[in-house]
Amino acid sequence: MHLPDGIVPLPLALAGYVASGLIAWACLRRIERKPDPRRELPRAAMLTAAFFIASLIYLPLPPVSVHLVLNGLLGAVLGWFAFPAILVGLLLQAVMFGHGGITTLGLNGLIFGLPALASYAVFVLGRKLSRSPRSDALFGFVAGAFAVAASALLFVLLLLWQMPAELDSALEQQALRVFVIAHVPVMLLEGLVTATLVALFVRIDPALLVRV
Amino acid sequence: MWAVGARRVLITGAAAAVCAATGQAFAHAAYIQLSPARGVEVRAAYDSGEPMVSAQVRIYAPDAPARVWLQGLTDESGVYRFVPDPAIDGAWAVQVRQAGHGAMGEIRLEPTSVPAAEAALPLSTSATGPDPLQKALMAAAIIWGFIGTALYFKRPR
Repeated sequence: MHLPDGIVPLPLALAGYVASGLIAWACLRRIERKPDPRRELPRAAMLTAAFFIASLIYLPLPPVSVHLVLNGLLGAVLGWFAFPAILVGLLLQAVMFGHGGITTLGLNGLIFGLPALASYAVFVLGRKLSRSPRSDALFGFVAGAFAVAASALLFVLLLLWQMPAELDSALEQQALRVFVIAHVPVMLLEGLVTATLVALFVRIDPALLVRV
Repeated sequence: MWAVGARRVLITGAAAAVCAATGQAFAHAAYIQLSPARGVEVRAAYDSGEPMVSAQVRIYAPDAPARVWLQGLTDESGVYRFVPDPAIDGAWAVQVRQAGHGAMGEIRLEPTSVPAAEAALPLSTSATGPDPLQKALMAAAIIWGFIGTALYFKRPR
């Protein structure tokens, strides 16, 4: 789901950097206003590591192979930290393994980061509506699954919008359909992973979750 | 051959004879001419090792890098072969794409010599890409960095 270099025109890639930069700045301002931002940094560091390594965990779903994303988990657990954490993880994935491009880092930040923030909103809203371990896990599932679905949707919409004229669009659209279908199991799996971790955090230390 | 980005495009610039036989073949209503030619083999695979089957391949000639010179699809093994025009010297660009994933590479053809593959993207620093052990070591180093960061901020002040 990472956009590589050379897929989108350079002006769009630059616009992605600007948009990602602005969102990261807004998130950092929010973090700065917290009473003790340092307190949440260890958790952010550990989940950034999880996000970074997730792209190396492949799920063979013939005829394609997909990988974990974990942006919903980051959104639900880290809140405003999720966007900058995802940007750091994406940069390292691009530099170390070539997952995603350097020129498309900003756009990839939007593809993964915006759904993470949306998942944060979903999770917080859900916890405001109902505060029980079971509903926490349920909203954790929704947050985890939603982020993968939203990222896949953003990725596909961007590609459809920027389809080069010389490309066989019917063939590419068919490949994109397979891509979307292949991410349905990932969506469910990430929902389960997020729900399990949320349930675990609620059990051992509810302070590990974002405050509502 | 080169690995570029998460998706690999391996361009073999060896003297692969695409048409091995020399001579002419005639039939009642058809005519073909066979001649030996040096070809370029593009081998496209995902970084998990799976071939990019039926991926779209676009070739750009050195004299018109903005115009598609040739296009086609990879086969079941993720392979696509083409014969560049020997009259056009310079770097031939190859782009492989499938569902938004893909890679670019270049191969430089020099007159009177075997084509020499050349890297195109700055991301490509190795001819074959990291092997699983290298990947594991790099991942471990990064994770250790994050653990260190977490422990640093976890320490009592």
